[in-house]
Parts: sequence; structure tokens; C-alpha cells
Amino acid sequence: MQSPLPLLVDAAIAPDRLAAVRLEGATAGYDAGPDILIGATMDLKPGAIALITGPSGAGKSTLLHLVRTALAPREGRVTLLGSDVARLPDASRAGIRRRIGYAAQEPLFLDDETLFDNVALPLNIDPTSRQTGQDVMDLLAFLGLTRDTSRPAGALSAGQRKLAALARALVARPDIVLADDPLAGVGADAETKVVRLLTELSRLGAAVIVAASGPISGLNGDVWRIRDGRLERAPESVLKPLDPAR
Amino acid sequence: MLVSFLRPWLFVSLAILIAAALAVALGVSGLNARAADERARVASAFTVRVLPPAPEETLEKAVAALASAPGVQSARPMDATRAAQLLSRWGGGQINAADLPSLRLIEVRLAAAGDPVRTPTLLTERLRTAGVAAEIYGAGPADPGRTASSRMVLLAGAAVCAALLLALWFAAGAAARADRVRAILWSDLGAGRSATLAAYGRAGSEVAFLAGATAVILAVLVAPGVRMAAGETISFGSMIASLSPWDVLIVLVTPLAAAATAALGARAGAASTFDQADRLG
Repeated sequence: MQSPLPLLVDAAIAPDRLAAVRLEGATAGYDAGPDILIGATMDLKPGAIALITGPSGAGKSTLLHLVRTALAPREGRVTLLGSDVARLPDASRAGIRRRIGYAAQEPLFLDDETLFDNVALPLNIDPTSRQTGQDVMDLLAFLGLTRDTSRPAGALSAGQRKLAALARALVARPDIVLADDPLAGVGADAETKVVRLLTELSRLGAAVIVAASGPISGLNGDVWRIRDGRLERAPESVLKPLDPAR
Repeated sequence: MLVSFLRPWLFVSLAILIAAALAVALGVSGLNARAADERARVASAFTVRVLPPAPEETLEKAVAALASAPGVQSARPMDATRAAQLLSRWGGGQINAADLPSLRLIEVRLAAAGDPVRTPTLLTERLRTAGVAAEIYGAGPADPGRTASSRMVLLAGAAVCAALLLALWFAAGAAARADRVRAILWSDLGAGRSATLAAYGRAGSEVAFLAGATAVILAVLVAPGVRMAAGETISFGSMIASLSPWDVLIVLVTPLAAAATAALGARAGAASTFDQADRLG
């Protein structure tokens, strides 16, 4: 019997059908360095999944940094949930960030604090969040981390940290989910759970962008690739529907 | 509380810094009070010289006349040792009391600082009425050992206190920078800059206030012991009673000033981390 998905209870996310993420000729890079991402254009509606592929260093993480507003475009425009982020004052940009769940490739944690406290951090930061500690526990239970909730985050394995980062990204039920290489090192069983969670979030209305070096089995969405800094739609879909038996 | 700086190393460091600042501030305050006392003493004291030739009883008559004059707190004959001490201070050279002749000097202390022109006139008239011929002098120069605190000491004390507060500011900032992962995560998770800085400021002020209060309590407990070890006979009650209004103000303000300084330091430390995390490129 499959574990129940912890996010099925409340499906009131992103009611509008505007593009959740819109990139229009966005060029980005770091400090005075060269452009990493050149003229990226993408339109992602609520509930859509985009898999960004490309070799290491292609610019997948840069794209995610652009979407999570940590990187300002050198050229072009980034529109999130209907707002041009370049025109937003800092307070509004922070508000947009609270609606984005981001799981980094190498996630940071408050290593001295418990796994539970780390995953609950988004709920503490956003006082308007409707999620509770029980939601945190449900999510951790689904990902097989129940026994580790009271352990310091610093004591977790690399795979557990990846799962915990995903849990933290999803716990506040964001409108945009960004996952950077979420399956790296998590184990086969957890891979299925991660894919199910991401799929479930998209079903609830979140726009999901996943960066990975290659295809992810079971993740149903559009495939994009970055080649020479340019984002382009992959000619073939390598995504397969989730195998219900898994 | 999402941010807390209540860590032993930071608490102890801040308590030591604050205790040092408190000791300097109270020390300067004490020196300043002593200097003010000395200046007041000089302003309210006069020396009367009974002019020769005059028998011993003329000196006694003069003392009685002066002691009963309005505004005079005390009038007493000056002994040779005291005279030698004052003359040494005045003239600069060492004077031996045994070498002095009978100077027929009387030290007069007023109840309040007297008018430097009018008071000698009044005292002279009083003595003349009593049939005593005398000259009136000011009390002489203030004791430099007691007035040394004036401006330079105040400035030096203020500079030391400022340096200690700066160290406190840096310590709180360092604590905030050491907690950089939290600021990065907060930035990523959409906490506003002002909310983040406010949380760090609260954490800084909390630990500094507690460290400041601890330093004050320790100072209150330790100071009588130190003074007793130095040979003073002092009780806890008499030490409290000896505190000037400035001392009380310093004691009350110290934890608050420490809290405000640490809050600013923690905010500055968190701001640099938050801003770096907020914009990567």
C-alpha cells in the first residue's frame, strides 16, 4: 500500500491561470563574469512542470537563482506570479519569495537545530502561513524521516539533507517550486517519493521547475535544455508518466 | 525567538566588556566628584592671618568671632603641619613644619561657596569689631591630586568607554556574522530585510542587556570587597549611600547602553550577510 501524500488535504493554491513564471529574453551572470544564461525565454503556468536539463555548469542553477530572485537579470525580464520582479520593492520581492519553495543542490541548514525546526522554518518566517507542525511531521513521515525529526540537522546524511531541503521547500505549499538536482544521493525508494511529491504539488497548482543533469523517470512535464547558455525546449519528451506500481 | 545569541562565550565576553566600561565610567565619575568637592572646598574656604604683634588670646578671640559669623561653618587655628603642607603646595618647595614660626593662621570654612570679594570684607569687618587686626586670603590652590580628573580624565574615560562600546559592537556583529546561515536561509525563504535585522537586533540587545545587568550586579557585590581589601571601612549600605546621582545614572544606563550598542552591532553584522545572500551577482 502506498503512503498517503501529505499535501492532498488542501488544494487551494494559485487560483489564477496567469503564467506563474515568465522569462522574456533573460540574460544572467555573476558579478563581472560572463553571461551564463543568455536570452532565456520560458512561460510556465500554474500546475506545470518543467525539467531543465544540461551538463554540469550549463546554467541550470543560474536559471533557478534567476527565478528565485537571488539574481537580477542583466537583460530581459522575469515575471513571477504576475509581477515583474525588477520593479518590485524589496518588501514585495520578499513576499514573492515566500511563495517560492527552493531546494538547493547543496542545501544549507541550521546544523545545531533539529530537523523539525529546520523544516518548519518557512512557517515561522511567514506568520500568515496556514500550515502547522503537523504538516511538517506528515511531510517528514512521507519522506521516511520520522525517526530523525529530533536530531540536529548537522547529523543528517547527505541524502537525508536533500530530502529535508525538499521538505522545507514544500512545507509552506508554495506557488512556485524550484528543485535543484533533487534526486542526487537520495536512494531509489526516496526518488519515487520525491517525484510523487513534486507531481502532487503541481497537481495542487504549483509551477514546478526541476533542474537535473538528465531525465527523471515519472516526472510528467515539459523538458528544456540549456546549451551554450541558451534555454531551449528539448525536441523530444523524455518524461514518462509515473509508474503507479512504484 | 527565532534568533538567540545566548551563548556562554558571547555572554561572558560581553559581561567582561561591560564591567570594564562600568568600572571606567564609575572611576571617572568618582574622580570628577572628588575634584568638584575640592573646588567647592577651595571656593568655600578662607585663611585668616592675625597680624602681629598679637598675644595668643587675640587668636582665640578671632576664632570665636569668626565661628559666630553668619554663614561660617567652622573656624579653627591652623597647626604648623597643615600650614607647611599648604605653603609647600603654594610655593612649590618642600617646607618643614618645625622650621615655621607661629603664623597665627585660622582656617575658615563657609557653609556654602562664598563671594570671593564680599566674604573677605564681611569677615574683616567682623574681626575689626572684635578688635582683631587681620588679613583674609583665599584657601590657596586646590590639591592637584584631587582635581586631576577634570577635563583630560573625563576625555580619557569617555574614550576608553567608547572603545569598549565599540568592542561590544564588534562582538555582537561577529556573533551575527557567525550565524550567517540563518540570515541566508531567511533571505531565501522570503523574510524581509527589516524583519531579519530586527530579529538579530533583538538577539543582540537581549544578550547584552543580560550581560550588562550581570556586570552591574557583580560590580555592586564586588566593589565593597575591593574597597575593604584596600583598607577602607565600608559597609554595603554606606557604599550605596555614597553613590552620587551620576553613579546611579551610570549603573542604570549601562545595561541599556550595552543593549542598544549590541543591537546596532548585530544588525550591522546581519545586514552584510543578508545583503550578500539576497543578491548573488
